[in-house]
Amino acid sequence: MQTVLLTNQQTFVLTPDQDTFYLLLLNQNAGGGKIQVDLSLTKNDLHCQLLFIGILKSKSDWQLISNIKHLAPNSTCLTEVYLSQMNESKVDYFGRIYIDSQAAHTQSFLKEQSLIMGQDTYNRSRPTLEIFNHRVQASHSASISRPDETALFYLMSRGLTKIEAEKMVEKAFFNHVLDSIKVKKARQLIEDYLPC
Amino acid sequence: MLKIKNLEVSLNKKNILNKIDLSIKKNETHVLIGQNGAGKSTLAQSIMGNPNYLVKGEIIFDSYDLLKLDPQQRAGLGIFLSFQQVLEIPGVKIYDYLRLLYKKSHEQRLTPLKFKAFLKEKMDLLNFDAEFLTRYLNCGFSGGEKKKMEILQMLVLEPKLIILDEIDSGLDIDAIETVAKAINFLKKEKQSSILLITHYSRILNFIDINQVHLLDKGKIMANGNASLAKQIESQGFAAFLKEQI
Amino acid sequence: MKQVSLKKLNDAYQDRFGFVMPEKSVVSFDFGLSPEVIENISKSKQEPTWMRDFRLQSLQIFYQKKMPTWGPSLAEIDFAKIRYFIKDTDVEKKTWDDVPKEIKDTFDRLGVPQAEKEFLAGVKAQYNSEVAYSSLQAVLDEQGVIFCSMEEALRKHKKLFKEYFATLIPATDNKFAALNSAAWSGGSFVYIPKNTQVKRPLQSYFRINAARMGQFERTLIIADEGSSAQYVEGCTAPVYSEYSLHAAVVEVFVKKNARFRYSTIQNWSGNIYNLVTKRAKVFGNGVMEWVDGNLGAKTTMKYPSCYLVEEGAYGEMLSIAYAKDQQIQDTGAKMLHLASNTSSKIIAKSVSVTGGQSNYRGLVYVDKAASNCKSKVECDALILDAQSSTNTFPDMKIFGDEASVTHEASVSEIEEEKLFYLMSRGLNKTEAMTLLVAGFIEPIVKELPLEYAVELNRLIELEMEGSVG
Repeated sequence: MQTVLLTNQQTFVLTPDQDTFYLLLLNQNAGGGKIQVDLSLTKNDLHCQLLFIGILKSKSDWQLISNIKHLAPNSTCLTEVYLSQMNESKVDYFGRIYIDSQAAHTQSFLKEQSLIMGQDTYNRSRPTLEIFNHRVQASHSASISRPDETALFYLMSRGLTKIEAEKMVEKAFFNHVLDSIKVKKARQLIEDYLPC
Repeated sequence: MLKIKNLEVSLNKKNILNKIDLSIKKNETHVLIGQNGAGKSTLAQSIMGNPNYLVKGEIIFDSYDLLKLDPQQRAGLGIFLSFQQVLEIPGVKIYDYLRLLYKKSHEQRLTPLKFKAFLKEKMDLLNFDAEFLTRYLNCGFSGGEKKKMEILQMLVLEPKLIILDEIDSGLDIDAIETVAKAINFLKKEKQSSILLITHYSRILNFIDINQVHLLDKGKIMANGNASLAKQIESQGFAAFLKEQI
Repeated sequence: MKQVSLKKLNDAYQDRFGFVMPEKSVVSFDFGLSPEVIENISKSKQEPTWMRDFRLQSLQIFYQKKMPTWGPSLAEIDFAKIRYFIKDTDVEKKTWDDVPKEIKDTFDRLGVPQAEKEFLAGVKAQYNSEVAYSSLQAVLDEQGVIFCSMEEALRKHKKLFKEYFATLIPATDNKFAALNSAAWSGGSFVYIPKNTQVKRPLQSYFRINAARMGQFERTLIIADEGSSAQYVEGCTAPVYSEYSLHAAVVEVFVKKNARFRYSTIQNWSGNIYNLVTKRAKVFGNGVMEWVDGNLGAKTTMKYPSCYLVEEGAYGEMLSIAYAKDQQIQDTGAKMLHLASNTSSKIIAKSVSVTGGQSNYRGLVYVDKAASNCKSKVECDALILDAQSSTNTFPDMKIFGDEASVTHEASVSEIEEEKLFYLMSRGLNKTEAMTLLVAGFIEPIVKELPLEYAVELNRLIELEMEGSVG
């Protein structure tokens, strides 16, 4: 599977002809932006992945769109979005999976997880499924939560301050993502992106 | 009762079974042994009509050509297969399910009271608590419970030909004895024929068998009686097969 | 055994045009909407001035509001062709002989008693259930529970009625709420006094007059502090209705520490647009449960919602949608967390078969001031064949920082291996698929009152017989 890092653009229109892992790392220093990825699977037997990772800085305002279109049979796609939100940050995510009537035996999954690290944040999530073929498997999940209280307590009881504990939990959140990435190049890029 | 001739079975263009000949008469118990990947489950599933397999040759049951019938029709003739991998079917209550199975396989209807009594007899044989009836089919069941649930269905359907695909794997010795008790019950009450697929000979301590067949790489390599099974177990498959060549 | 082909049922309903119509002359202004028609409705019910004015204002709002464009097409609705003013005497002109055979057959198969059949088929104006009903009435009277028609409540319980009516769903809410506000007729008024527990479910169709069955039904329910009760609306047997548009409004108030469950089974005939606005306002530690089964109608748009306005409030929505033959079930739920420490749960299951389309549309909103809120949404769709489809459109708007919101949705087909397993046990393909579909919706069916659950299962069996295998 080839790895492609999506950068320097707002809109990406992708029609891969081989198995591809697309990685999008949101600029941690940016005040926000609108990013749209249109991924169309037009060839049979393709396996693709799309991963968005973002540490959303304080007061930033983001609009993210992923549009996965399955137009040919026997393809799989895994779309994942992992975000952590600082104070007063805003994000509006629209994640669409469309499976055409011709795209039998498609498997498409969308997973979105947001970790709320700050106060006064806004998170809007619209994962949608439009399924027109019955021989498919498709699912999506979206969840949003604060760092786990028990984990924070545990770390604080070992001497960390609240902020240090929160940072550690945030790191654990992203490490969890890293663990699931097998593609070496992608792992390296993500590791470089995450704070140490 | 069951005559398999020249059976060839392939999956996804890969050939798994080659020129299988096997016959089982009424009230006979046959054992099919072989290593993992030999094709034992494939044979079992093909007799039952799993649509994923491409089957050539002949399978005649009581003068019916099984290859012309779908799984439901084969079940209607009195064939039962206990699956090696048992699926969970959420939302389906066991009591309702068993009642439906009984209705499908028996001419005579039973009143709810009589059915409950019929069921209790079978559940006692398997040491099943009445509480099981309210649970959903196979959901949250341990490996052993799933196997016993397959046997309970067998006891409700009262089939003529019973194919047991590794019913004993994952069971402790007490459970194996319980399962054997159920099989012997049907052998006595209904003169059912059995095709027992297994890895281990422990269950053979509790059931009388007529013939043993050794399957290796899709072909039947040896036929014999109970002592054949013991021989293979003591020598090991590899050694035994080497001897055959 | 008689075979009923349910696919033809929709056509049979269109045969209504072939029914023998009464000799009675129909006054021309009976069709279409106008201030005069609305005035006539109000006059015939002898309503107080405030209600007449409310209706007229609502009519103006209806004219101004636009049709919703975000959902299924409603282009076929012709407001001018609808009769908004119906009298009881108009109803009992049809005879049992006029009822299509398929409908009668379905009643037989479901074991519906004759009296009930006539009522459901629109042949009898009132469901005659004096015996069953009067004993329940006695218990209710003793407890101080009010359960009567909206018209009666407006006359006998003015103060209570006016205090709550249209405060949760104003006419401005949406075009169909405005239409209902202008032309409403029939529906139930329920008041459960403080700390009163009503054990037996209150059933709506004992009360409803067939003529007003559904078209612009308006229901108002108040469960006062500490009370608990259950209300069941509709029935599983196919309901034949002359009216092509049903725009109902249901307002439920669940006061502090009260508990209320509103169950609906809708199986309207296939010519109907079923557009419903249902909303509950839940106060401190109150619990509101919506249980919804949508099987019939041509197009259904229904999104029961809960406004969780005080701490500890809990809202739940369990829904099943079964879409066949070009039906569109566009359903979902809205949970608005407007106070801290509130929680909600939505479980929606849908089945699409023979060209049906089922859509989930939901909203979970957590306000900025609402901290520590929890919400869980699960929607699963089962598509049974190539002609059918499903869409899921959830929306989660989270302002509160301390919210924990999860949403999961999946779309699947019936697995081959499960079919094979069940068929190998002697079930034919239809039976196996029916069992798997029944198992799929079971977690919700088991929340319905027993007789509804049984009927619903039997109905699904019948439906599947006609469309599968």
